[in-house]
Amino acid sequence: MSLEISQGTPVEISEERALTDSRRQMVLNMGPQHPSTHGVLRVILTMEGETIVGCDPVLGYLHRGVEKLGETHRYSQFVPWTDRTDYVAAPSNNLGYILAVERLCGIEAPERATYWRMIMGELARLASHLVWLGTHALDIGALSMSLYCFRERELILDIFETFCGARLTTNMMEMGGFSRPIPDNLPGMVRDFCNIFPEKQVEYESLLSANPIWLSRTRGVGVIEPDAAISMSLTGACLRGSGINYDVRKATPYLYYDRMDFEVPLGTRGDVYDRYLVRMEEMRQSISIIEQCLDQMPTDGPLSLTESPYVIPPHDSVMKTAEDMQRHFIWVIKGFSPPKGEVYQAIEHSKGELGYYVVSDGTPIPYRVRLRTPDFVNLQSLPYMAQGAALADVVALIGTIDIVLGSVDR
Amino acid sequence: MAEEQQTGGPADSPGRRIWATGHWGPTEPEEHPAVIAVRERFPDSFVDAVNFRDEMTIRVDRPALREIVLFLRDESSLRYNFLSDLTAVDMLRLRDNPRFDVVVQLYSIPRRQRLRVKAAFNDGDPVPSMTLLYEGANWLEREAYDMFGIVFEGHPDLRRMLLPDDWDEGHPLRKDYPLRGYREYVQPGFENPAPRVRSRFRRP
Amino acid sequence: MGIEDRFEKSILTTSVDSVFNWARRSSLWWLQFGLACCAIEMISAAMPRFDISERFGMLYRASPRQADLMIVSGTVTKKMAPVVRQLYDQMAEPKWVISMGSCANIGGPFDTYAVVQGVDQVIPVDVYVPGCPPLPEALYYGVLELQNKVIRYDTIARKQSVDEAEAFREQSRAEAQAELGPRR
Repeated sequence: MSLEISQGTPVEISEERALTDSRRQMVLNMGPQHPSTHGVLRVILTMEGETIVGCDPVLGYLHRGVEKLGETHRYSQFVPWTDRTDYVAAPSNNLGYILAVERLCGIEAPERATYWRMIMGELARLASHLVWLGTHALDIGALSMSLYCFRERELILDIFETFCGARLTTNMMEMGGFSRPIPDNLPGMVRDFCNIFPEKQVEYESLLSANPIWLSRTRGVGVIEPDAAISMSLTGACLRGSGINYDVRKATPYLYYDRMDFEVPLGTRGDVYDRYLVRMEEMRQSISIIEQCLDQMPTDGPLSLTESPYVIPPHDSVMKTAEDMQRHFIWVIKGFSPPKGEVYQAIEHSKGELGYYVVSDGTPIPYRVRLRTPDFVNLQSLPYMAQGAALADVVALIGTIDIVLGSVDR
Repeated sequence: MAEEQQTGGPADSPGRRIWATGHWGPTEPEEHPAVIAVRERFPDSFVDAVNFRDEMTIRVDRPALREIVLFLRDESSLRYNFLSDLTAVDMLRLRDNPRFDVVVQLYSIPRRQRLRVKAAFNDGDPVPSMTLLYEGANWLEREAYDMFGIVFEGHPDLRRMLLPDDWDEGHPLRKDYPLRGYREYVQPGFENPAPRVRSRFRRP
Repeated sequence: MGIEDRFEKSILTTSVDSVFNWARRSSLWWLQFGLACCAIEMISAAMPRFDISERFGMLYRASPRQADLMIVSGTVTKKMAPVVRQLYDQMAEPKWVISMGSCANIGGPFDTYAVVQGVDQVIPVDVYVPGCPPLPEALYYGVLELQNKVIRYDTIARKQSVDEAEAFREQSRAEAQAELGPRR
């Protein structure tokens, strides 16, 4: 803990005077190795006693140059890197990028694949919210929540593992659909999860929602006014907790979200507790969306486009026909060239609006790939919320924004 | 720029397309209310409007960028009150002059429509900052400064965002910056960087 | 410091060492320190299904002063490298390092301007666990390998001198450099 004087040159001061002078400010460094910063975030706090008067987040400890990698690799090669930006909800990142490139090329996936994309996106949202709930509650003091949340998260990861073989960085989506067939037992696994999860969620809420410690740590803490939330470009639960109705799934529907019947939960006070309630309700709506998808989905049908030049030909026909073998060769060696243009595709990620801005110059390599990640923008509200808060609230505020540093720093 | 290409896939068939559900307003630039309003109000600064995949892009002159975005935000019939994204593109390989494009993605929460505003400028030209209109532009502009070296005029706190404060190798997202950077990481106590395993593929 | 490096190898010293090493191996406390994606798998490994804490006596500590083991889980960037080094220096001897995942091993898929190509350029590494990210089971295997290494550690008996180890490291590095040639 270092003691600095905010104004003027340093002078010799006695310890007694430093303690009594209330205007004396102290600079406190938090992170990048701190258990409650969810990774490698560093926050420089200026304190007056126990009250925060200044807060300066320092980012970039996990800046890996993902956007630069996108400019130097072919369209289909970039998909694995999108997994590694927001690694707790990898399928959502795949989805955003793939939708952007499909829009650039002017193709769309078959109906069955689209429904499965929605299911995977919602499962990713649930997995991400479970990580958020576990770590957020752990920071505030409810250690057992993390054990329960990670227990249910393993069920989702089992579904991902059954589908594509990877637990965390799934790389499951491809241009024009999915590259892998859906295993026969997968719908059953998803159904089982939808039956199990609501009971578990009741368990979480019975532990937290009326818990006096939880209420006193979250109620009235980190209030964001609605106007400030819009002005700071917040999205996701940070915006909806303040009562602004903006959910990309409802506002500008992508996939088949316009066919789904679901509610957008809104908060009223805009504090940490409201954002907690909003996310808990979102998990319930996600389960409902998954069940609707399973009901509406055609049980049989193609999972990927076959004729389009932007899509890798299916394995069977590559082995049988010369045309497809040539197409496959060209697709793998040279890639595909979308028309010249630029698209911005936004999806509702578990943390807010995830936007991919892709510029094409007509070559197989994207000219520019821009990731508008929700938590990078949402983290801007930390200095706003921390102003005047107590030091102990900072961990609650960092938790409520729901950041993943891979996505913040890219 | 927006040149359609034969796809041969189901996109050519009539019917509903996922990516074309009217989130960007009318597809014809002549019919789009934002285009009409901006052209009427700022005839000198309006360059052109492009539609690609139903996405409307308005190109304007750099000095008037802030006034135009302010107009789009406050005009009662447009109300683009939400800044989705602010970024830049280095156009070095596509055209000679001017070098950069600053890209502002706007969204209207009440009208549920998106719009993109672009302004072109050369290296070193100051770009009007959006922080006075949207607080959210603060970090986005800092990031653009960090990655491209674009100076935003009127930004309260323009310093490095993601790279270290003492980074002296330039701005990595510029097209003339190599992917691996100019310098290797040198282990403390050593003079030369450690040998690295060579990749089979040659990367740009 | 202490009684290290004072006694030659003998029956007494090696017997005392084996008791020490058994205790160390059975209670490797690790530094709670996550960098990137692998950190999520590391947390999963500590959570109910995999439960690395109870099975191996591994407790995570938030302070480097109380930790024996550092699991470098994720990409080490050039900005983060001095911090990793500082944390390593703050840990008390004896200390071990597991490099978890491709990023920490060789830089992984991030061959870019901002990433250190392998954490072994910053701190010495005992065990490398491959994978992107490694499954919790793979981390188990790494921990078991490390335990095999810990059991051979000499505390009381005289260790190989630091200069000797450093010379060996530089020599092997020069050999590797000669074999690979200069960087393109």
